[in-house]
Amino acid sequence: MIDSTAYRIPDASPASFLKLAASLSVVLLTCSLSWDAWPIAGTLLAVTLAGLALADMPWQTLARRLALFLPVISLVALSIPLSQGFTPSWMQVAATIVGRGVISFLAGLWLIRVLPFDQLLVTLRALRLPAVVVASLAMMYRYLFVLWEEIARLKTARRARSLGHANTITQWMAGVALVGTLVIRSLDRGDRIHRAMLARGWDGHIRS
Amino acid sequence: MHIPDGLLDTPVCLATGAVSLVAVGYSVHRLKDSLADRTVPMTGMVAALIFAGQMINFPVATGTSGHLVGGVLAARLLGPWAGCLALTLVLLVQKFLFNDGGLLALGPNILHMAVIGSLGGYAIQSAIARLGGDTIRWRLIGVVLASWLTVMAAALVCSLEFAISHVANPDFHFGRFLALMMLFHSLIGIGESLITGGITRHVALRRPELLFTPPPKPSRPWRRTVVGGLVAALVVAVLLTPLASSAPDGLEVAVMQTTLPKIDTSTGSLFAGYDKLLPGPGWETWSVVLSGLVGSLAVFGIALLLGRPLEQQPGRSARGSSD
Repeated sequence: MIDSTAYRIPDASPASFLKLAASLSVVLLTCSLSWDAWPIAGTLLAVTLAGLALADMPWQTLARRLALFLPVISLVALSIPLSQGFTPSWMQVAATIVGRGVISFLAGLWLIRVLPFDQLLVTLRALRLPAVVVASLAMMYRYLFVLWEEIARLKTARRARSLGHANTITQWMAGVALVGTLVIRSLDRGDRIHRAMLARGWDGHIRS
Repeated sequence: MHIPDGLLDTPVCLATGAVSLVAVGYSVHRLKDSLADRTVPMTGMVAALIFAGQMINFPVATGTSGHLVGGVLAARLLGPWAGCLALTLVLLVQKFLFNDGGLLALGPNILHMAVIGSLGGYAIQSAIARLGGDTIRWRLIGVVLASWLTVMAAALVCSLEFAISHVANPDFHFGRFLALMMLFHSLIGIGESLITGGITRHVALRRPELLFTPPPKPSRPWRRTVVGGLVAALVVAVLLTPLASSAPDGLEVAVMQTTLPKIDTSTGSLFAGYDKLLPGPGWETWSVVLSGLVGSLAVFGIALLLGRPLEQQPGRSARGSSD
């Protein structure tokens, strides 16, 4: 499935545009609402949750993602009273940020649930994004998983040698060496891919 | 580093999105002039590399950890235009594959990490590298300083966007928010320059040709480079800090008069003593100056540490990558 995306590109379906537009309009509307318009915000939240239910989103996944997101958005919201002092309006400002953030986050989760990445590539191409951008994005998506496995191998090698005990400085040095090695390997791999593409008649023009 | 939706106002997101669109569009336009057949595979590969590199966590304190941002590294590997495109692709994949960061906030996020990180980062690192005759050591020093400065510049721009979003809120003190952001990002920037500098050094020792085309002239004496680098770092810091602290003053004075009575009304609350903890009215300006100075000195130390032994180990450059 992954192999096919960079090389065989299907046609964009109208549903993909609608999904993208729906997600964008929920976020736009949510972020434009003022504090007094909380009934509309509640409706948007209900609509988004209904959308997630229709998309068969497992509630465990939803809870896990929210549990990761809530501390981040709360910390961001707290940066205002932490820098401004706890003035009378701090609670309202912080609650607005958290509320807007959560509804937009859920709308984003719905979008990635209903719009697979290869469909997004096709949609972006149909939206007339420059061919070099879409082709590079397809390349990136294709090789992301290859590099992921490369990192897993490097991490295994690191674990095998450090026996799991390392102080902070050693961990930093090992991390830097790991990413540095990844840089060398991936640039070499990119070079090999480029030459293989040239051998197959690639001249920098994307034909579809 | 990723701004979620809801933090910035919609007009601010749309305006920064327009700026990002123009900058990325211009980068794509410039790419068409260069080696077009190499652009697609290398940009895609480096974007995947930056994405994967961000997965590696660096422990900071108990429980917290940081990771690479990568704008300066991408610009070092690909040049400014493809670097900017690569970081944009990273942000797109993070949004549309993992739901990291906001949809509307893609505009400011691309501005902070791709445009400031890669285009700004390339301008800074090549300017610093040229100071020292464009040797490999000076390119490394440029990478280290550019990493810190781009993080600080992104924090400054982000603070401005935030202030514009909250301009209707009479309780908002721009100076205080900026001071918190600058202090926080001064530390993040030190981490970024350590990681980016370390990676660049790792590659420079093993495969210098990936980063570097050999310089036409030999490097300058070491002592002069130390003094020159310190002066350059301090000059940039001093140039940056008044820029950072002078902008809020007018706004702040205006806001101060309307808010002081309101702060007094909160004395009955749980956090009554909070304002008294702050050492005097000028603390925010001083902390910005301090974070600028401490940060630039620390980053200069990193540059010194990472850059020094590079040319004393000529034998290692012949060796392949060890893993």
